[in-house]
Amino acid sequence: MELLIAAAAAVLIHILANEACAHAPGLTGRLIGLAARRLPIAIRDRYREEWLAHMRDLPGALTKLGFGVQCVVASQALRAIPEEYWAQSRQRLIKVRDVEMLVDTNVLVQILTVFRQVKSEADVVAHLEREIEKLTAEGGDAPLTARGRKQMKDFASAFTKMTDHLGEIEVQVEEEHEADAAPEKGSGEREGY
Amino acid sequence: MAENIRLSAPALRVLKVFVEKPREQRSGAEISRTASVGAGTLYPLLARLEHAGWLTSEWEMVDPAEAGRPRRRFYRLTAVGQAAAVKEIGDVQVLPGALAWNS
Repeated sequence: MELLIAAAAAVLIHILANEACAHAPGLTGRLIGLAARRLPIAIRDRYREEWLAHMRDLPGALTKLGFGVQCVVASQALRAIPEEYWAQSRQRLIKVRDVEMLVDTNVLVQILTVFRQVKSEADVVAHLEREIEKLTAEGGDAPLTARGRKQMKDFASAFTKMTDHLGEIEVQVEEEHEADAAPEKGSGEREGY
Repeated sequence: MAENIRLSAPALRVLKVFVEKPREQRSGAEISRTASVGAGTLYPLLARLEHAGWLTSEWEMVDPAEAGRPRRRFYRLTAVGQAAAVKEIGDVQVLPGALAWNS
């Protein structure tokens, strides 16, 4: 009798496992859809596609199912980020020799202005610093935001390490990037990851 | 920028993956597998690192309709991120499941 129960249980488990495996991809897809719908509209499509691509790279139905659950968890954390953060803005990837970074369009304008003024790479950092000071002090038509000021300082900082050699400066600006604009942050704020 | 960021153990493991081959771009699946960080932690982390300017991301250059599958999103370390990550990783030794401060 015990043997019969054990055999029946084994068959039942086998059937349930098969059913779970058969339905897991569809269920994972639904979990990803649910997770994506919980996100702000600006990033919904991005994460849906990104997560579906991630799911395809995973082996095994149950692993995929676990991933779907984790996407729901991720969506909870992503939702906690202020919505302004996700507001769409356009950014450009700027490359000057080995220095490259994404900057907001208005910051790119400031950086390019500096590059048009200078004759050598050694001048760039000094000009950038003066430009930051000037824009911060005057405000003017296009005052630098704290985010913009930070981007320019980061660029100047990265560029400082690359000024070993002088020569003709070549600035490459790549096509527009979809970017996530961030809210202004206090300079003393610390972020936990 | 680095001085304003407090990095958790998963964040350090993710950065370590990038620092090992800074020029390479990686999908979320690859990062998750290599750094042993689950998607629930990984994607919010990538979003914040991207916001901080340490990472940049772009879509895989395929037509989803033609390829018959969704595009991957590839992440790459920026110059700023590389400098900051090297500094942060230099301060700690990342061990499986634990962190040990270098003396």
